[in-house]
Amino acid sequence: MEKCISDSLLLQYLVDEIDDEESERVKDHLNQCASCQKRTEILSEERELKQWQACHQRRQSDESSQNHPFSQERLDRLFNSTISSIQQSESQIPRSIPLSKQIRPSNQDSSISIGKELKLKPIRTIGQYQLIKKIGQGGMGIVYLAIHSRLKKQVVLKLLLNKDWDNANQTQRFYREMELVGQLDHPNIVRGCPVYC
Amino acid sequence: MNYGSDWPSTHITLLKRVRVPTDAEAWQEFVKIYGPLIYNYCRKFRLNDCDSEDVCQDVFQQISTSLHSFEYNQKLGRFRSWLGTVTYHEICRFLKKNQRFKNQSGANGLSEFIYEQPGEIDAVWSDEFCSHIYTTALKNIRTEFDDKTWKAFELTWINDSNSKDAADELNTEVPWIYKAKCLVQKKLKDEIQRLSFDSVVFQK
Repeated sequence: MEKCISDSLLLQYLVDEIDDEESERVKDHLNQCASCQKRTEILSEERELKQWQACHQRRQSDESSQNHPFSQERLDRLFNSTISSIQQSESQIPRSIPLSKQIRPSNQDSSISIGKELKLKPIRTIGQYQLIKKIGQGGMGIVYLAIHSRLKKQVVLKLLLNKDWDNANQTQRFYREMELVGQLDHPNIVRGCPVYC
Repeated sequence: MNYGSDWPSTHITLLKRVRVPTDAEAWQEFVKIYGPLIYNYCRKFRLNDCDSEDVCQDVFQQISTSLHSFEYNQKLGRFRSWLGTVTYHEICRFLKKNQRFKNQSGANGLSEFIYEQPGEIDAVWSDEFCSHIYTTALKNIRTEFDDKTWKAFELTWINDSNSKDAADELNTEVPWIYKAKCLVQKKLKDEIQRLSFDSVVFQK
């Protein structure tokens, strides 16, 4: 049998950095030489990767560590709410209200002076409602503080983002939320009312 | 933020890019990498589905704000530690804000539990982080290899079979098994580094 292969050549062979002829020679030798096989296994050992694998195995052996499924839909929702909140934060608008809290205004919110708000120029009008300011935005929709132009009554208006009307799933979620809000009547939960635009 | 000389440019790009709030593409990738990790970590603290998503959003917003003020320093924590700290603080903030958790768990409230055992929390976070990055990297690189190469890697790396047995099972030679394993290992290592930002160290 020919002379054993050097460590550096073995490493070059493993990562395909030698020509075909040399590669063939190393392969033939490796097939016959137990000593070079052993050295190759040692050389190709990745201790750092082993540590990552060990962490993973340790976690897998813990039965209480089962992950909850993270669907594409959840990912999209999280991305939309994240990008909205960081962009909103960047433009110096107060921190966005998390999606699940959007229909639960605090007592402090409801005590905003209507007279003061009316002096502010509305952003735009939707039906009979003048939008005063954006309160928050999540992945699914935007919540505005608004005032009914005739009744002068302050309301919170939730709008589904334009792009989401094409998403049947999101639209159904929106309608389901409206139905649920309609069934609730509690001083700490905002009351739902129909808007015809 | 500064970077070590061995830091691949793609990593710099993503971390630099998420500093810009309008770079939706970068944020999409960042949320895709870390969203599931942070979400599942929140669930460990018995936060429900919606609350966990809200905390994820808070964590990302905090990251967006804080990334501006962090600088490279080898002596201080790695990205994973910093992310763990941000996540942990956001969970604490959420629990403090929501007293109902205390009411549910009585005298041994969850918020008391997490404040009293920070060392244990670090170890749990570290394992969660490594496990998530490891499995995500495996999944990401899978499509880059043919079935036979992947099988060689699975047998020798995941199942810890010896190379001779793997070669027999795949009807090939031992040197081919070495090369296949080495090839996938290298790719896995690169992908883990890409996903974990492990070469970047932060200092406030």
